[in-house]
Order: sequence, then C-alpha cells, then structure tokens
Amino acid sequence: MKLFSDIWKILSTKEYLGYLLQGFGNTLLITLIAALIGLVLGFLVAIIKIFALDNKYLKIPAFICNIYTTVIRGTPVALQLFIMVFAILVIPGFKVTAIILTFGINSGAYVSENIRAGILSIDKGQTEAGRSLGLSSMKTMTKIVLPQAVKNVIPTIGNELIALLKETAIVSMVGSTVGTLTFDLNQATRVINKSISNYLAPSILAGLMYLAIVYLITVFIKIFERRLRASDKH
Amino acid sequence: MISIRNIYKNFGNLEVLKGVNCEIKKGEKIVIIGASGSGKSTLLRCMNLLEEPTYGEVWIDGKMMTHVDPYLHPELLEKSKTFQKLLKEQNNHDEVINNIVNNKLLKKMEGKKFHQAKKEFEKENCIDINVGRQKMGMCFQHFNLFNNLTIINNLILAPVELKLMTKDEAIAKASELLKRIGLYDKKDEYPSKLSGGQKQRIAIIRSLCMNPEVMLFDEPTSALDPEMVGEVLNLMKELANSGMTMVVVTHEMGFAREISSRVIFMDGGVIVEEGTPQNVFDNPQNERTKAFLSKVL
Repeated sequence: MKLFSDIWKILSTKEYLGYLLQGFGNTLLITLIAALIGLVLGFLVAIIKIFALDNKYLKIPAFICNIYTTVIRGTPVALQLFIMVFAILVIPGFKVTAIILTFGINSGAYVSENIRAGILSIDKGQTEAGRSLGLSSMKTMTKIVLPQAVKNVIPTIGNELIALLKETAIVSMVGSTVGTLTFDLNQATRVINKSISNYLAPSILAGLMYLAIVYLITVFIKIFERRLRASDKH
Repeated sequence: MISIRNIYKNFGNLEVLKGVNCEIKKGEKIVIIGASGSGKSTLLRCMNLLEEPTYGEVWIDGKMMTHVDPYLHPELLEKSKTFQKLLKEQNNHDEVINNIVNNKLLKKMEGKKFHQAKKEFEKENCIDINVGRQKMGMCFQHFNLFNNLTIINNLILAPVELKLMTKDEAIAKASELLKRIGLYDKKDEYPSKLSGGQKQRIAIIRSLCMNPEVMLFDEPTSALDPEMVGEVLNLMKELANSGMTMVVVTHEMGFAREISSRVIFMDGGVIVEEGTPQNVFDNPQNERTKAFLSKVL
C-alpha cells in the first residue's frame, strides 16, 4: 500500500511531478536532435558506401565510413559517451552538445546500415532501367531507387528510433544537473527516490512514460508505412 | 551507327567475351542467337555500357562511349615508353606494335607523352555515357518498369528529367504511344497491376519516348507466359517495319528469321558465324552453329 500512496504522493506533489515531466521532456529533446543527426549522418554514409561500389573517387571516403560504422557499432555507447564528454569535448558548457553528438553519431552508424540495406534491397533492374534511359546515377537514385527504398527502411528506422530513446537513459552516467538537458527521465527517478526513499514508485511512473512514447512512435510508424505502401498494393 | 571494336569482358577470372567486333548500320535488324552462357546478353549490355568492357571500344554515331583502348590505336602505342624501348631492341616498327598488342605489354607508367596523347584522343572523341545512352533504348527480360511510378510517369520521367521535352509534350507523346498499343486506359495504374505482356509493351514504348536511334532487346519474351509472347513480338515487328534499327537477343527463332536482316551466332564469347537469316538458318557453315540449330529448330 505504501507503493500506491507514494505514487500518489509523486503525482500530487508539484515538485516531484515537475522532475518527471522535465526529465521526460529532456529525454525527448535529446532523442529528437540525436535522431536527426543520426538520420542525416546515416543517409550520407549509406549513399557514399553505395556509390563507392562503382566510383573509384569514393573508395577512400567509403573506407573511412566503414571504419566509422565498425568502430561505433563495435563499442558500447556508454564508453563512447565517456570518451566524448571526458576526453574529446572537455570544454565547459559543451557537455550537452557532447551528449547529443554522441547519441547522434552512434545512431548514425546503425541508421546507415539500415538505409544501405534498404537501398540494396531494390532490384538492380530498376537502376539499370534508369541508367539505360540516360539518367545519371544521381537522378536514378533520387527519382527511382530512394522512393522505393524508403518503404523498406521506415520500419527499421523506427526500431532504431525506439532503441535510441531508451539508450538516452545513460546520460546520467556522466553526471546530470537539474535544470539542464542532462537531467533525463531516468535521472528524475533517482532524484525523487532521494526525497521519498522509494525507488519503485518513481520508476513505475517513468517506465509508463517510456512505454507510452515508444508505443506512440510504433503507431505513427505503422500509419506512415501503410500510407507509403498504398501505391503498390497488388 | 554502333561500332563494337575488339570487346573483351571478364567477370573476375571468367572470360565472357573474347574479342568481339561488330558494325551495326542504320536500319539493320540484328538478331543475336546462341546457347546460354555464350555471351550474347553480355555483348548487348556492353553496347550501352551497362557492363563496362574490360578491353575494347564502343562507338555510337562516330563518338566513343568507353575509355580509349590504346591497343586499338598504333599511333598511341608509338608514344609509349614500352614502344621506344622495344624499338631499340627489335628495330621493326610493325613487329613491335604487334608484339605489344598481342602480349598486352603496356604498363601503368608509360610516360607523359603517351598519357597526353591518350587524353587528347579521348577529349576529341568521347561523349558522355548518359548522352550516348539516350540514343539507345533498352528492353530487359524482366521489364524493369519503375514500381514507384504510374505508367504515364514511367513514360515521361526520362524525357522530362533530361529536359528533352516539356512535361506537356512528353505526356502528349506518351499518350499517343499508349493509344497505339491499346493501353491508354492503364495510364494511371501502377506497374504491379499489369500483366507481363502489358509490362513489356510499356517498357518498349518507355524507350521509344526518348526517340532512340537504336533499340536493344535483351530476351524480351523469355520471362513471359506463352500466351503473351505474341503481343510483344507483334509490337516488335511493327517497330521493325517502321525502320527502327534493332539489336535483339532472343530464343524465338521463328521471329528471328522473320524480322532480321542479319543473324549473329555466338559461342564461347566470340562471334562464330553471321549472315542473312537464310544463310545462317538454312545453310550454316560452322559445326557449332549446326549443332545449336539442330537442338532449337
């Protein structure tokens, strides 16, 4: 019964509820910016890797991209966060930037592989038909291949977005302060716990918030996907 | 119109084409036959550089689409260091050239003069690969209509994107062609709603929308149900009768005999026999041609 009363206490105390909402907002904001960085970065990396298959000038950029995906996907994101915050961007006032960059760069590596797989899944004949009509490889990509690849990529990008959202829970590992972007939903539960000495109550609330937003993302992705598929119903 | 000069094509260690020479003149209808694996599709794909030849050159309308192949140009070989070196040893101009060509003696570093000459030659004769391809329509075995576009957009995409026509002109042209093949009512459908024969006919007129000078067909009826082969062949016959230059890779021997002005038989990556359909089909000279025809006719 103490659990319910504690939950009620959190919900009815302006300060505690404020912590939760602030943390929730910060989690969303970090995820959103990181996801955008990841999407742009991932798209660029995927395109470079694809075009490098038959363009010798892109071999070196593609090699760098391969190192990037291998290293980022091969090391824990927590480690990357430490390195970024305590070794690379050790400039006062740049902690938030460092955190968002870490998640963006990390997400970009996964997204690039998703997009690359999506592009490669499109039948080679589509590219050949475009090229044989005299369209450049760029035009063929933007007018024919990418519009079809998007449909295959959306579900996996959605997965990546969900994973990213939950991964941001580790920001408190590099220390977080109330009132800055580093104060995420996960950290909010710890702060509330200190005041009411019950870890479960704030955790359940935070868990429900995570669950709600993840569910919402899933639903949006599904709707989006269905819209895109409307053109190729058999 | 198209000139294939000493084309070699390797896929890794596999030699698919081993020195093919072929001249295609305006208005000719050429049918390439041969067993599977003989290199006929690869030859066709080399014509518009969907496969880049390992050696050799492809010319269209007197312009080169490939990189220059120095082995075909003695005047370029003369500028190379290898030539200068060998000339001192052998002292016979023609022998040295032959030696270089036969044994492929050119190295990566052949001196400034050679590369200068090569560059100048390319500058003079090369056209952009995309410009060359605009003159050649290509039809594939699996149609390859753009799945993300409606039929009408499939047809107008290339001419509009390449700014060869305005959108209205392209739509007018596409509509006219669609009416001619009786599929105008399908113009707003997506390709997935069409039958194989319909898709292939659309693919053919998609190429025609670019006003090509020559049409290449890569086994256009092989992926079709038997009852749909006729409609596609009829369209191709119509096209042949209208005077279009055509190069067709096919297994339809009756069709080949009917429309072709020249039949090329390929085996093992080389042209074994070529001639009028009467000569090749009724009176083949080469043993391999006889063996192949006895199996398929």
